[in-house]
Amino acid sequence: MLDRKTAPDFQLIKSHKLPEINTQNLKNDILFHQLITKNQPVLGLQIVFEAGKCQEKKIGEASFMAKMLLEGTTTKTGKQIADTISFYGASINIDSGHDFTIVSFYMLGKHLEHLLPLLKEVLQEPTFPQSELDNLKNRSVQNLKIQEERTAYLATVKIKEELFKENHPYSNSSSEENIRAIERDDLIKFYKNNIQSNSFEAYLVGDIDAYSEKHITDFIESFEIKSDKKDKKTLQNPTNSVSKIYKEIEDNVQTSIRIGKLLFNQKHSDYIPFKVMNMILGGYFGSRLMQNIREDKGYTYGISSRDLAFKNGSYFLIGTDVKKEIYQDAVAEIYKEIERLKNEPISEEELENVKNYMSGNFLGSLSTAFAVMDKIQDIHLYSLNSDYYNNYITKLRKVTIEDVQRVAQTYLVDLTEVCIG
Amino acid sequence: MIDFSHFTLDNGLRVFVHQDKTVSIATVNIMYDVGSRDETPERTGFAHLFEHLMFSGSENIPNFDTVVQQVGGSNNAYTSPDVTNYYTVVPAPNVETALWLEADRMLSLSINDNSLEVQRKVVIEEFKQRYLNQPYGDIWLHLRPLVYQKHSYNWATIGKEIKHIEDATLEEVKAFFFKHYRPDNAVLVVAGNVEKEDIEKMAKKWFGDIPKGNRPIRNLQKEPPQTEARHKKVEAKVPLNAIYKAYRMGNRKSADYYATDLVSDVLGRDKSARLYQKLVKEKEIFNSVGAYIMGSVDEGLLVISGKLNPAYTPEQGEEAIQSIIDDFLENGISDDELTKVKNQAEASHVFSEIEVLNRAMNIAYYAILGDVNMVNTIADEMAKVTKEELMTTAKKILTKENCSTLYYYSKELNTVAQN
Repeated sequence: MLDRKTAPDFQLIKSHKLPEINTQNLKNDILFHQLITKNQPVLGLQIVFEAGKCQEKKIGEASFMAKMLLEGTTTKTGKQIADTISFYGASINIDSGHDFTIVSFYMLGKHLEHLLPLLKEVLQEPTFPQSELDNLKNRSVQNLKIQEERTAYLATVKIKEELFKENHPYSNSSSEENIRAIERDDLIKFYKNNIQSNSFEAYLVGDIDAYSEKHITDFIESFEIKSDKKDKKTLQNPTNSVSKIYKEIEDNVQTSIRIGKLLFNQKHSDYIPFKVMNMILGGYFGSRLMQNIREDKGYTYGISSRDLAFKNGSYFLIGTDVKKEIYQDAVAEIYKEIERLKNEPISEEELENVKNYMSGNFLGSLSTAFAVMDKIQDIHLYSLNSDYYNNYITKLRKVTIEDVQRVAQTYLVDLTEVCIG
Repeated sequence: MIDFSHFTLDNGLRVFVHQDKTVSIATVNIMYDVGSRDETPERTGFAHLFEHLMFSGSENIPNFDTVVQQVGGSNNAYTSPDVTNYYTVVPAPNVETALWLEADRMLSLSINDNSLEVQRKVVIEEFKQRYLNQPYGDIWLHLRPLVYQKHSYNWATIGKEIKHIEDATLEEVKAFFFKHYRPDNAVLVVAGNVEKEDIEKMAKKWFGDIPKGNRPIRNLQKEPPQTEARHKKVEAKVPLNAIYKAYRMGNRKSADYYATDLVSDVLGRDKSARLYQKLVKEKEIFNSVGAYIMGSVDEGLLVISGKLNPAYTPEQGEEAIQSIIDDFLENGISDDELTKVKNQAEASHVFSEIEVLNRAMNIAYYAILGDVNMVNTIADEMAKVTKEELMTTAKKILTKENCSTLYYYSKELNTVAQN
């Protein structure tokens, strides 16, 4: 008779090293990182400029600049650009976030030579056509109105405003007024100051051969880099303050709850212990918040607690959408779980379990070369130690019961709370 | 090309092994041949509610998730109208733990009143979060009954209404399990850094003595061909008017499936497609517009949908879409446009195979469909479609009689217009 009660043996993941990346400093001082994977005949090229909200003079201009790069060049209309990219089955995304503008270009390797000249033109000769900008602004205003119907969106925007305060780039979510105020000249200025002739880093993943390596190297070296960043500024987290906000929206069937606080970045010595503590609190399905609020009480479809680390500021955020009638009970249960972490040491078993989960999950998050390259990108963009991820599992294995309680006591205080819906 | 090997256990469980030595993980994917189309009209949303209950522990293992987490794994599941799929990703050396867990919950689930009560609440909140508390979230609750009057695609996977979820009983849950969750109604795919011989041994060990069931014979009502245009009007608290046009198309195995897919791409796959270029960029009637196919196993839908700029009504949007369709049907497409949509299809197929988990899911899906080799022929089939086939298919499908249209009015804009 088969013994089904006893679990099969399993192995602990004690360490994991990222594969070696080939990094070259090209003639024009651009760092070019390459990782070869032969599984599929694809190439993914990412080009990263330090040009995001932190460099903005007008709210929203970075992201409008990024979108408008694809809307016209000196020789091509927006339609022609879209047609060429689609004709070769490629995809290009240019996104500007808090700190960076990232150009992501994915294609089948065989089409490379047809696509690189286009990418060059998009990055070097954009014309920012007025009519396309007007069209984009109108659509953005409408999309914002749709977003604003979602309590989940409203609550996240609100808590970022409360945490980072007015005027910090991370708290600036575009309003309709902001969008309307953006002008073509703003985009051209932003582009000149932060993209054109500015340094960047390039990351290439996929079925790279001598041919594609040479083509892309030539492509990168054809950029004339004139200056390093002009607008480099380092921002500090504002001082923490506490607020509690509740806004009712009639007829809404759910309430979006957000509870959070400003935090240190990935380089802080408490970052990994905090990550472990936060995982126990609300970072995975087995977390205390998930088990309590969803699996025991059935108040919600999901609840999470995450840390969000950026270049110039970080925060942690508990988020959930709950049944409206019981939202106060849900908030009380969240605080109860926080207090429990502060007042009672966790068991050896729970800590071990969460470490196993995090180690395995780390391994699982590296299942493609593209995912590996994302980690490499993190190291460069956020100036982490080059062994940061190679030591990740070893470091998290060292976190103790005392560490977990200590970081909970130190950092899970003076929380800001927003409930909308 | 996805390589795999295959064997079937005596109890009918079909097992596929796909080896990929370049990853350090293993994925265990089990797909059951049951979806919301197998429900009765009085108890919709049941297959999905049941999926939640599959995580409530089994006879020998009280907590599924905890064990997965202990060995460094993560897991999830989804329910569609056609199938229910469960997957676990673990560090490769721990693959047996995932198989042990999966086998135990196939052998005997331990669902009690409490777990049913809690998951009932969770699913009701999921219903609200995804369908009600979301602008435009309820469109499929309107569109499905309009299109499907006989076939069980009539309701969404989440269910017709919350009440059905509230009324589900423990007896129904148990009966559902023994009817649909038997080894001969499932496909197991193990993929990643694993050896076929090991998996064969483990599969036999853990799944071998699970009794087979009586594989349910699916006998769904066929949806008769649509012969006249259907319309429905809805008003909701949304900022923009919207329109949804659903055209009936063939099933997953129909000869013109790939041609239909390409028709939807020509019309509205992305920013270079006809609908977007004409109606968002040139005429500025729409805020967004696109087209896609649902990809369902039984007779499916080609959907054109868009949100309108404030100055336009859904009726005007419909007219504008119709002019694009008329032009397309009358003037056809160029060689370049055909090459474009084929190149796009090829690229998205290749990119979809990057993740080992996706490869596993694809194998399971086509095995359930009855022809696992389709996993490796899709790209060729797509490449074979000719311009004539594409146009013949477009002319067959894109007729007014074959279409159900949902006019989705913004309450706010409507009020302004009436003042």
